[in-house]
Amino acid sequence: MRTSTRHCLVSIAAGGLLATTAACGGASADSGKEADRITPTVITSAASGKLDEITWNLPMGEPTTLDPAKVGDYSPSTVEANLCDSLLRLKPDYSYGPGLAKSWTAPDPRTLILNLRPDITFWDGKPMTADDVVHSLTRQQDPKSGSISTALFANVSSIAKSGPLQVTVRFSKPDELFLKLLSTEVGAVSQKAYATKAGKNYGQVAGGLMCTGPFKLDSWKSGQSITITRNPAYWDPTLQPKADKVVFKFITDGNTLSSALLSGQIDGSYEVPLQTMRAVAGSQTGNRHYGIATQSVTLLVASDKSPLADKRLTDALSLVLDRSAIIKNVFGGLASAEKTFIPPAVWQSSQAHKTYRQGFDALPDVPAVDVAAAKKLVAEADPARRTLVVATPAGDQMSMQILTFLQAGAKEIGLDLQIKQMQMVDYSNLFYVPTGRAGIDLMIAFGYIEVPDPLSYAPAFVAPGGLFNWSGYSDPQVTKLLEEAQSTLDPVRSAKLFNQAQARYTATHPVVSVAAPYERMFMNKRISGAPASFAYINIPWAAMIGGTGR
Amino acid sequence: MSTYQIAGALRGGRRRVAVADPVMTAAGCVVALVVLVALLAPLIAPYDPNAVDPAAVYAGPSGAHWLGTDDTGRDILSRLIHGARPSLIAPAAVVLLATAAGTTLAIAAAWAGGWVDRVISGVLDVIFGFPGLIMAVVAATIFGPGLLVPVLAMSIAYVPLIARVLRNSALKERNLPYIAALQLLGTPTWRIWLRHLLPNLLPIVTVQATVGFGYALLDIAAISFIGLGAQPPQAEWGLMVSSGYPGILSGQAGQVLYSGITIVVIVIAFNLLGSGLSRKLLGEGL
Repeated sequence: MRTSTRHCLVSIAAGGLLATTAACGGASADSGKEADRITPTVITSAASGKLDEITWNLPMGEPTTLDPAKVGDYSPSTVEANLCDSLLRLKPDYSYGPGLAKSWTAPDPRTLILNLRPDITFWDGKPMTADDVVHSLTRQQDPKSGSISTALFANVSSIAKSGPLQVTVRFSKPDELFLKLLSTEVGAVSQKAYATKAGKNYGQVAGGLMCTGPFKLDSWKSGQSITITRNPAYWDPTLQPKADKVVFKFITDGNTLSSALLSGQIDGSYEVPLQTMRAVAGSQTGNRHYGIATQSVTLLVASDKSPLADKRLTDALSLVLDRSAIIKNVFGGLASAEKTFIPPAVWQSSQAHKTYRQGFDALPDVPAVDVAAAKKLVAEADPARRTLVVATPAGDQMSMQILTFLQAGAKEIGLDLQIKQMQMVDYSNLFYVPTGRAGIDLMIAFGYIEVPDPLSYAPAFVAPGGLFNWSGYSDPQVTKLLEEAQSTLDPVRSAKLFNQAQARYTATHPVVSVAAPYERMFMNKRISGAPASFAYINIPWAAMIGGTGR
Repeated sequence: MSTYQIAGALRGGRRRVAVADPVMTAAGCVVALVVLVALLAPLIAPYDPNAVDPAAVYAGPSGAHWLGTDDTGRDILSRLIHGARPSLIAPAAVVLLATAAGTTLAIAAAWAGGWVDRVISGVLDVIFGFPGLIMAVVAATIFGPGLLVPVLAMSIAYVPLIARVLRNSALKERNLPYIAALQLLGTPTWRIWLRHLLPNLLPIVTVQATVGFGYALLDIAAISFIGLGAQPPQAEWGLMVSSGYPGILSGQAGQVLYSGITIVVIVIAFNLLGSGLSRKLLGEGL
């Protein structure tokens, strides 16, 4: 599955990836050898030509909603990021800066004051006010609104207007993460009057949207397309859309997508399936681009009752997982092996990146295949049962390949891994409906991290009650360190606390980190300028695209 | 064997069976061959069908791997050979179950007549309205993936295909004088069914089952293709098409090609065999 709540945004990418910013148009990576020459990039070459229309594909299918309080998956976020500006703005290199809030101050550790830009108008021409901001943040906090971000507001005690263009957020305890959250959909601002009137239909086909972004929602033909059009009154001169219109299609079949990309019917797509990327190699129509990403592939223990909740067994599986073979054969070399489920891209743009790097480097290396050691661990663990069920979405070739390799390795150490294919809807439900995980020991998850901060992700895995902590992992010291890290506003000190927690849970937490795939994007040669990095999912990427004159 | 049996379809059939039918013979040979392959799979397959080889992913045809390898380095030929077992056993189970139930219901309806016939026919009509594939998909979605549930669901769906045709034949047979004669002689009903009626219906049962087998094989393969039938790493032809499908884009079409061709050839073989049997046993084509 593609998990993506904004809690579980991942980060990936090997060290130093951010240093490279050149475009990589036309790069080919059909084999592991060729892939060695690929360097993931951040952004494609700038282009400023005017365009009538861009047709873009959403390979994960039609969005279920565009409501900023409810988007948390690939397709919804890809569209929504162009429609609703956030208070802070994420950049393609995962740094962040002012957005709808021109500045912010923290007069004390428990107070955040946001100063809003005075020149912002919604698509209908009405000015954005502090009331709109308060309402938008309150919707994100309120579980009754259907928000998926309520938990992120755990430390928020109040959100109030403190001036015509000023909002003050107060915390029950200091929260270093909250400001960064405002660079995602959590900080997106909708018009209060419109959202209130639309009620539960806000962000749906029937309810529409009212935001301030560079594009406005023009039409949503369910099952066919979503069209967004240029906002002529957009406030940010650096992100004035060059295209009058962007039409989103929902082609999920790799064969159809490759034909559409090669014929020029579709101008581009993020998250292009690897097989499609291979099929469009050498195309005269467009170029393939590979970007840094905060995505990761992880094997999650599905139950505290599973034998795999014993870390010795997940370690054993990790020791028979031939990651180099997987990266070569499954990802075509376009991924990196992971030694933790939070890859470096998450913190590489942090002020404390040197500290994070020290902690990361101190972690044990990605284990090499060692069947003898794995057998020893299984013997020590002596599980009550050795037949284990691993769930995967039906039809996902990458997952199936990974699990087939794992299955063969598990057999060598006396574990019978049974692969259970599930329809995508059922599989997605496993992540949020505990009863659905009955009888399942392990799940393969393609996840991503939106917020450039490891604290946005780690607690979901290792804190008691964490969204993805199904193994029942609990270490009071880890929990304490993570809480302290989030309560520490000094970036370096916070990073040190996180490093301590990371070192501890990496040694004791039952999970198998598999790989961190690069972002895969294809773009027609007639356009350029889009971010190549996975950060696109939180920035108005379509506004960056211009015509190349070809 | 009664006089009427001899006078029945088999009599004429036997005479014509002696006449060579090259198409049917060829189809029969193909079917026999694949059954033999299924029976001898562990002996003739060159490799363990589930043995992965990271160093030989998507290897082309060679002396070591005659049909090449799949996306995890497994030998495609070995998987095709081992795949014959589930790929044949599952549709065989569908046909056997559907034929047993369909024949029983058909004879019961024809024998009893009246409201029993109307109820059975009505129920069969209702079931006939649901495509077998859809029933199998729904059942597998509810009860979970695997071959057992789709086999049971499709067996139910296939009952009308057998029963509707057989009922008409059984009705004609039931009204023949020899049945009345047997009743007058005090022959028990079960004996009339098993010793007289059923043998005379066997030719049409055989034809229906043979043709139905081809369709069932295709449906089971389709169920596995969408992930609701055979589960990895099992070698099964439909599952092989599914797992090989993404490779087509990058020019690795071997697995899909070989498993797809195998399915098509076997289905055609069963259909031709059914047609041939129909001509030989019933004196009419399908």
